[in-house]
Amino acid sequence: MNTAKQTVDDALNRTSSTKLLSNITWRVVIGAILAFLYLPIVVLVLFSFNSSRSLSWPMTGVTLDWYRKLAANEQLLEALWNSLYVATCATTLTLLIGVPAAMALDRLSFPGKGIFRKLVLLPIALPGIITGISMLSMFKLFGLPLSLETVIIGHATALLAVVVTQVFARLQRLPKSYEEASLDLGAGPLHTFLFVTLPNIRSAVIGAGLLSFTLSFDEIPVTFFLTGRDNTLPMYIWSTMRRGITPEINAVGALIVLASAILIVTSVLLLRENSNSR
Amino acid sequence: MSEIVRIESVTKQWGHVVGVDDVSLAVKTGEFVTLLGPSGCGKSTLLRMIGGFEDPTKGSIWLDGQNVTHLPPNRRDVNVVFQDYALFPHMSVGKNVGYGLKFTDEPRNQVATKAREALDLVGLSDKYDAMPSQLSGGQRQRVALARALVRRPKVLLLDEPLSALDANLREAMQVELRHLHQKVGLTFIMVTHDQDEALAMADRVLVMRNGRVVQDGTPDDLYDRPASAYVADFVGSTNMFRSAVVDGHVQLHDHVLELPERLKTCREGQFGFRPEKVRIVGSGEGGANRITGQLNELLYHGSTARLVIGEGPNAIIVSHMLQDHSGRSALPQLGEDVTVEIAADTLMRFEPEAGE
Ligand SMILES: Nc1ncnc2c1ncn2[C@@H]1O[C@H](COP(=O)(O)OP(=O)(O)OP(=O)(O)O)[C@@H](O)[C@H]1O
Ligand SMILES: [Mg+2]
Repeated sequence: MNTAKQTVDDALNRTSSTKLLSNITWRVVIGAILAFLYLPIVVLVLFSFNSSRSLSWPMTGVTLDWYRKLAANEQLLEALWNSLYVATCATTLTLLIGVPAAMALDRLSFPGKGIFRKLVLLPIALPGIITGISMLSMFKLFGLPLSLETVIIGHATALLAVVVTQVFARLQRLPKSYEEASLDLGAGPLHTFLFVTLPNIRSAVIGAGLLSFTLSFDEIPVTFFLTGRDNTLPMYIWSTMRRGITPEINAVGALIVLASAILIVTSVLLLRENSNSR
Repeated sequence: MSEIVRIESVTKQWGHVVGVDDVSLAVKTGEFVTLLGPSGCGKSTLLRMIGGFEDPTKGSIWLDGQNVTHLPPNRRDVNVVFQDYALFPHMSVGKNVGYGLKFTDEPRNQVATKAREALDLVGLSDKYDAMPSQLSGGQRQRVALARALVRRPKVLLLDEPLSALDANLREAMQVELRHLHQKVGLTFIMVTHDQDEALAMADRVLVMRNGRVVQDGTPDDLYDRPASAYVADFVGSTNMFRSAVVDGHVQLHDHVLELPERLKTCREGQFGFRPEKVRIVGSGEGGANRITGQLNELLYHGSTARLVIGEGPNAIIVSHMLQDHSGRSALPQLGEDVTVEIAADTLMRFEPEAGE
């Protein structure tokens, strides 16, 4: 009797200790994954506050000097401004073309629709360098001078596939009867789009827009081929890097991390509001 | 009563696929019409053409004297209750119902009031601020009704509005829809593939088959005077047989049945009678149109029982109403001989159909 109980207890203990073990293992694995993903960013942010120029541990002290320097660096500020301009315009342009394109793909049926769809999505698989070279030749052909605007066109082309895929996938899941009901209730096509279609694909549009913005913001290959004398931020960073990593670069990086975090939180908030708002 | 909808030889084709084939129809103001037919017969297509969602290939559609054949849905004075209800998921119930008033001359401050009134009509005034996802199937159905009715359309179109509900709720909603129709006094055109629903609810039923209307009549017309074997079989069930006519009599397997006066002079053809109209009589009782056969199957349904008398292709089906409290014990036993009477005036004759 006693022995039997003991065996049971032993078995229970064993299972709980193996459980504990596997629990710890999982924590370690998760910790390792997170470290793999975020340790470099932590290092970047920490060293942006380091008082010495050298990138060695331990840090010598905390300072905001690098941020002050950054604020005084005309070239860098201009590059940042250029990047924001390009990313904003490219995102807007690609949304303005991509959303209607996705809607056309979703509802119209015309001969060769399948091919059209693949053609729209193909650029996503093209390396940026190819997009860059081919657009460069085209602009040359048309005699268009290179500028930030040509960069915008290049980015919008490359990003179109992102927007079309995401919005199209959402539209496919949207019952056609919503739009029919809206028309039936007296709304014209424009009101139907604004009041019914758009709110229901809003999260896909926002998601695709944010992704486009981020991709455009740190794009190098297409920009490299299509820009004139203007520099974007990633190009500027890349060119100064040849002189080694400076704490200033770390400071820029930290600011970009902060901006990305704000973007992500905003989008999450917007999407949450989308799912339970009226 | 005046005519509100007129459909003139409307056809809808997609390439070689024919959805609706040369249908004409006139609906009077305040009528409750149902389109009945099996899956794929073109009911929804016809309804969608009235709503403006499909463009007819041929023919014309008139609404209250106006030719609306090619007008878009938002410029027609009809509203639809969709099969999946199509409530906008991002708007509250109240906003959904009020949506249709935004595009009318309705003053802004009246929209909410009217929406509340419409919700009141379907018994959901307390759900004004709820989201559609928080409602049950039956409640969504009612919101869809309120949303369509709030615009006071000339015609309300309903595409299988009750098919997503379970059996009990469906019956309750049938009654409610009928009441609502009487209360608001609008014209309803409803699509269904459920014959009970069509008979129970409509003033008039159009039976469709392969894109055509094969019978247009009141529920009793359809049941008592089906125009074809197809309708007789689709609306209720029917014992069918073919026979020559000799001296005003037909032959049902090895029994001779007398025809009613109106059929005495017709030629050979297809005949039938309803299982419910057959009467079980005591064995040995003589009389006209009586048949005796062995009881081979008995399905007890509580208030009725279904009896299969005779065998194989010669079997006839009898539906017997159980009265009083006699219950099961009053029924004949399996294997016993049963005598039934098929009264002459319950016999129906059908013209052979094209292609048969
Ligand atoms: N957009 C379309 N393109 C091609 N064929 C279609 C289209 N819409 C309907 N059809 C065809 O038209 C016929 C009638 O369709 P409809 O939807 O009207 O049937 P229904 O009577 O409503 O059937 P159900 O009870 O299944 O809803 C079907 O054969 C269908 O395949
Ligand atoms: Mg249908």
